Amino acid sequence: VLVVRPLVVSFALALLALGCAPQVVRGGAGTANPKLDEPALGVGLDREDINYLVSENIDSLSKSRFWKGEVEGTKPLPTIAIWPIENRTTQHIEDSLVTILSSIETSFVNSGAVRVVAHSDQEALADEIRRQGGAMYDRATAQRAGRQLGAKYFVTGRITSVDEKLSNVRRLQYSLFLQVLEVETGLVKWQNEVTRSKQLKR
Amino acid sequence: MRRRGAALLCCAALAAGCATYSDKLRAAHEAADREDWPEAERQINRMIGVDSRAELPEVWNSEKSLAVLERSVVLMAQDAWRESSRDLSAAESELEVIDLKLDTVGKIGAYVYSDSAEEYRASPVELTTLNAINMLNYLAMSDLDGAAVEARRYQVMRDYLETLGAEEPRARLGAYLAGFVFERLGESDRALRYYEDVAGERKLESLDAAIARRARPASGEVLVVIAGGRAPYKVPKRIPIGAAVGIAGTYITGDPRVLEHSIFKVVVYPELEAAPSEVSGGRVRIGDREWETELVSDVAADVAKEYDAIKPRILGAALTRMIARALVSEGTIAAGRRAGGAGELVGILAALGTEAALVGLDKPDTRSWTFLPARVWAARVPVAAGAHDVVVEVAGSRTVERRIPVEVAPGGCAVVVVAEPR
Repeated sequence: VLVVRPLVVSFALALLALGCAPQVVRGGAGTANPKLDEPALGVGLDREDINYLVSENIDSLSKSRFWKGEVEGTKPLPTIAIWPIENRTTQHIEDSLVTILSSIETSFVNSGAVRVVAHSDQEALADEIRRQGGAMYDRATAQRAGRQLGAKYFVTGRITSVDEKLSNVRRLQYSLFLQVLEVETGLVKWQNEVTRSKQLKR
Repeated sequence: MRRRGAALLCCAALAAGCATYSDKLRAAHEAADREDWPEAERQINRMIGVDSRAELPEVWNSEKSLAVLERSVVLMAQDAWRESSRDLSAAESELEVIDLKLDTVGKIGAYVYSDSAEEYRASPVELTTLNAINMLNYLAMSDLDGAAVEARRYQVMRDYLETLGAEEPRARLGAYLAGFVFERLGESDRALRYYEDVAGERKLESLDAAIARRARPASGEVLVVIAGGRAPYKVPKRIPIGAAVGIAGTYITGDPRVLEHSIFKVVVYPELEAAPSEVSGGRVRIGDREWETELVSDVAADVAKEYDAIKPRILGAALTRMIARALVSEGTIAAGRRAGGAGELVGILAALGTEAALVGLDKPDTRSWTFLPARVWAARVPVAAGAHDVVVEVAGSRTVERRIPVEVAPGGCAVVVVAEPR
């Protein structure tokens, strides 16, 4: 009994500890918790929102007359560069913007219809934009950078938000606006806007 | 006898253990007065329950949210802009969650025991100044996009306060800075609206040129901002009950006549006390030219005005709690009387003990953002593109000189922020 009792106590304590310890679970496709990413945990942009905003925009682009007529099947493949997305929201979403850019870049590369200037090769452009003090699209800079990068088109855009707070509710309506501009002419070849709302309620 | 002694000891311990928020910050304030910013930071870190500025609270509550706000200003005094902005954003999120949890604006005095048992709801001055202070952090880091996010948040807060019907604070620091940010981002119309907002209340020479050019960006300039002193803070103060009833008026719930039987003839409430400031503006020198800064925002005056408006409610809440305690005490006496004989004496003693214990637990709510800068001065200096040494002379009881090198791009700007919360 004297030998068994400490063992039982240790086992019980271990069980208790397990019961009290924070639990970590794996989620997403192919796991036991495929819907783990679905609940919103805040009013910021999460992966679900980003996937939705980007995929809806890319879907609109791929169905557009511009894409079907001037991009798909064109030889040599036209080159696209990506101008930073402007943050015009009330949230500090720098990390989300990086994810948005990466998602857009991935979609273009995987389409096989265009050549994409890697984001890492656009450091000079990024520096220049930083010096300007904002990510707003500037045609003169875009033309200069576009020629250097050998890009025919720039993809750019902005994310905006309508942020409202009333009594016990806070609601943010995000819009991801994307457009494709021809570097030489500055003409808008395509543009689209997708929205998503988040709400925090008592 | 031994039991009564123990009871009294308990009451004393309870009373002693109830240091108010401003009491806990005293050491940090004293360190700041000596310009010992690392010590002020260490004291605040102790309140937050962390070892360094790299850490945020693991578990948040009202007091920790406020302490993180306090730390943000002490970090600004050490030019730790990034850490300060992180603190402000984190504390703002926590205060927002608290704000959404509470019911009506200005809800005070719902508890029998203490105001400070409630969650802290930041005041309109604090809420609007928070985003303005964070704009300064981003501007000091030359991050116009980040500053623009704070400028938009500032507007959301103003709109929110308007919908609540709260009297909007006069402090226009946020509008001044938002105007500057949007002017530099080329959003002239929006910038102009903010400038006109500021000019509608106070004529500022530093905005004359910007308004005259319809907020189109100047060719090159340096904005210098001095955030000095600390806003008034609350301390526990005693006031005779009669005087308190006169001030509180209709904000008292219950019949104050019951207090005539109370053993306590004074009420303790949080009174606003000015924090003597050692900073009174400053001068800017670039090359051989010199500019005076001008007062953009008197935050201390706004805090005082806000407090004066709410003071009757604060006293009303304190008196309401006293009435509740006195009723508990009267109930105990009545029970003793019903028992008769020795029970009556026991009832009276128990009533005294109960009331004393409840008073020991009652501490006035002295919570506020005490390191909030008392006054903010600014100067806008036109300069040519290139490198400049900006010398800022902070005036006051002791003149302090800060030399900050800046680089101004063609057509661009630089922002110099000097925070002296002493």
